[in-house]
Amino acid sequence: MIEFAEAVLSEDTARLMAARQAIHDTLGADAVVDSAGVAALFNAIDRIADSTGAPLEADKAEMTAGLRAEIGIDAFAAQKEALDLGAAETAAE
Amino acid sequence: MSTIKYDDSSYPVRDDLVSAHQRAWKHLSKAGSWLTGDERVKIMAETRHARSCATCAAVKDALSPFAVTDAHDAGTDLPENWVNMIHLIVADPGRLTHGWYRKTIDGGIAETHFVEIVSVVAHTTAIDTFAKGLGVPVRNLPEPQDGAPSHYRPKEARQHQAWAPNIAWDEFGPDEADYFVGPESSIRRALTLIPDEARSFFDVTSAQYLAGPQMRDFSQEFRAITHLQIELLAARVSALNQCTY
Repeated sequence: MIEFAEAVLSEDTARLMAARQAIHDTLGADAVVDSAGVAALFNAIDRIADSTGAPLEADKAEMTAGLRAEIGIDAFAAQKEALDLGAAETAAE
Repeated sequence: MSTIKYDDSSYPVRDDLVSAHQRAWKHLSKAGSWLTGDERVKIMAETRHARSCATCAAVKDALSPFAVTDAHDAGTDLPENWVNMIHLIVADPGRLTHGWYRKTIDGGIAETHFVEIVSVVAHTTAIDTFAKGLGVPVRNLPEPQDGAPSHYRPKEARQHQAWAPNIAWDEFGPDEADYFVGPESSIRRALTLIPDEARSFFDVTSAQYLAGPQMRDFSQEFRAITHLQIELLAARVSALNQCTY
């Protein structure tokens, strides 16, 4: 599953073919369709969230605080703040 | 009018999923709330074109996506500020910032147009990436339909914590009562400045992912992959996109 997610977002056609075949061989043809559907949907929904600034719900943030810190998701938010700060400083110069 | 089929797929695609994509293609081809059918189909084309833009590749490699000042390689005659917006959403969504949003709006793209453009980019991304995952070519774009935008802006939409205005879960009016069903969700609110875009995108979501009640029903499985496998896929894709939501 993880290999398929990574492959579908990459430009490596051979890797994607192999990942697709692995899902087919282990879970069947319908699983290929559903895996493609989910990966593709989240590739789109991420763009909605990130371009409109959709905030994480407070209850979800609280429930996942430890996990988010552990796997480094919090760093993405800090990176955004740094980018805005950098852009502001550049504009002021 | 072009429609979507997956007859060329080695893997049979569920009828409900084909139907959802057909509804989306038809929806995208028609005038929306603020954009014409012609503009919407050009946004779809620009979304695809952005994937091969050299400037977008440079953006992804740069320390800051805003450090690259070269013009994007436009594939349509859409306004330059629309092209820039579309390309950045396609190329580097995880590093879009509130400052970028403000600059985009201040640069002449109205909030209504902004949200509708985001929706068209997202619909196109969902369906094109599905084709890629399936191993078939992207589907032909629909032919744009005549007609004027409705210019509908729900009066309940206002500024909240998100950058773009939207409708709060407990503030919807009668015209949107069909949409605000189930537990509150920030992501389901994200496109509600343009309610028809929110409805259409989450129609695709129900077919490609799960419908709302199915997401929380762990007593049964609704797909050929389990809830756990679905969430693993979703989490990995979102992490690769550096999505903080």
